[in-house]
Amino acid sequence: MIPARNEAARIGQVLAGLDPDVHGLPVVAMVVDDGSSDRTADVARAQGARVISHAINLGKGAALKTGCEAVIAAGCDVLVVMDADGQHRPSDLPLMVSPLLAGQADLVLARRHFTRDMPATMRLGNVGLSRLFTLLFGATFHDTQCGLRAFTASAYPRLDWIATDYAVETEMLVRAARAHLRTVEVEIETIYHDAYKGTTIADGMRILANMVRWRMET
Amino acid sequence: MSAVQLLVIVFGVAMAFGTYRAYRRRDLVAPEAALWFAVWVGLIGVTAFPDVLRNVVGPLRIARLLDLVMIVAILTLSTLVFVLNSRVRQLERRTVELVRRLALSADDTNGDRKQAVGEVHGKTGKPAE
Repeated sequence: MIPARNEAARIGQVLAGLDPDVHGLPVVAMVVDDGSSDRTADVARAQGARVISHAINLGKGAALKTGCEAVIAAGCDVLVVMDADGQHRPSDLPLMVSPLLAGQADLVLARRHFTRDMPATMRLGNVGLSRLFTLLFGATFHDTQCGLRAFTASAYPRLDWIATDYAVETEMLVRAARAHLRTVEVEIETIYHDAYKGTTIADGMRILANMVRWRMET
Repeated sequence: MSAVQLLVIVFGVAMAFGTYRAYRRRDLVAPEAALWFAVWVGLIGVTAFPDVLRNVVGPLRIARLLDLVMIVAILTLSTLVFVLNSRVRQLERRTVELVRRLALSADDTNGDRKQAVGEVHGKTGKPAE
């Protein structure tokens, strides 16, 4: 399940990298086009993906929610969400799905290496938010912002988030921690392209404010 | 009457006219229009006849009439910001839900897909629960 906005240049490559099955299970590629002004939806369809389009841009959280509802309604039992910008390798899907199929976890989180390959502001933001998460919620996740995640359809109602923006990743973890979902972290390699369009410093500040708010709601 | 008083009165009249036009366009319902009219008429009245409020200032232990006007203005603006913020959030939530529902209902292949996925699962076996 790939939320995408103006990713016509990369989405085709991402979809082409998906295997038709993982551990013998069929892969249904679903793209939620979140109000793109380019040909993202057309490119995704041309690659054989199912596409749902938001008429206007709502944000990553809302796109993920739409996609999750659609794939669960379609009968999928295991959901993998990944970014559309080619940051995640489709070849990591088996790694992500294995703990779910083995019944060892309800939620699998990808964990990136915070090396110099990652842009400095992003590295600082990711480490800072992950540490703050542990401080506020007591649960330790080494990478709270990575967009590559997998979970079972049965876990989705307990993860069901409200955030419509990039705070979705953090909210998902807050809900997972509160629902005592079994969570496994899997190390992955990431590819950073020149034109990074993901979480900005302003998004990071919003996530930080939301974390404090979620903590106060307990 | 000072130039500032005149300016405020002209502003009040213009806003009252704007309120009337909004009411005619049905952008405001009657109670809302009446409330806004009361605000503008009150503003014009206080500006044109400031002595009316001077008797209130003393018992409230406020030093100057202008201070009372500022306090009332800040309270009014704070209330408006709160109400507007709530309304904007409410509208945002409704818009998000509407766009999502439209997108999902436009995905008319949903039924076919469910069948298709079910068929493939039937061939390969469902994943472990």
